[in-house]
Amino acid sequence: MSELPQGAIGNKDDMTEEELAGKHIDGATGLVFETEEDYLAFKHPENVEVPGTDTEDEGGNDEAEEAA
Amino acid sequence: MAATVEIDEANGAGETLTHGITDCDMGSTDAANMDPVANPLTPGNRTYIKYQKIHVTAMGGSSKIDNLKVWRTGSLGTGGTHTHVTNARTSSYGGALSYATPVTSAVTGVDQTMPTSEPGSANLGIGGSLSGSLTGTGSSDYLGHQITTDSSATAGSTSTMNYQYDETA
Repeated sequence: MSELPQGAIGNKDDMTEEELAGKHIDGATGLVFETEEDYLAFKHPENVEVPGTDTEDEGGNDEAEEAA
Repeated sequence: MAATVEIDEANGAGETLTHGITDCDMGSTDAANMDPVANPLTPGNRTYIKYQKIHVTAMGGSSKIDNLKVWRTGSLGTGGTHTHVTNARTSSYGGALSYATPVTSAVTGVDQTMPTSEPGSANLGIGGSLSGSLTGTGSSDYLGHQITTDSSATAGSTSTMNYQYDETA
């Protein structure tokens, strides 16, 4: 089986209706995601913040920002 | 850059959501992108209701999405009586339609005739209101729609669903 993209938990063709309950399917690929956030991160990787690449940080508290 | 918008459809008892559907075929099974040839509607019955929503997946630099309108163009077929019903309406909007396992019977609130031309104002809400808007990723209320037929209806017809929104830069 080929490796799944980050955030995907399977393909809809390999899962039962019960397993798909509440899940998010990418209509273009059939990939299944647990949450909408996971789906959006797959669809728009350019919008995902990568830890340690915040080049515009103006001295704020990163931990506090992440916890908020 | 413009916002990225897709049409999603929910199916099954568990509300499985398929993002970015590519067709709106309606018939005798509850599935996104269903095959109408394999799942035709027998005259005298209703199709499974469709629960769909307009989903903004990225704002693309825009500030607001609102004024959602849905309508159908093209006829439903010849012979008998066909009716395309929906919860979409420009006045006395019933608020956000709650999802329930799709059925082939009438659904409360899904009783308006689907417009066959662009409505004069919004007919699908956001957050339960026709004046609602999205300023970030998010979805519209569910659009529920279903086709009813009588026993004289002729099987097979093709029409087009239209989904429209305003985008503010």
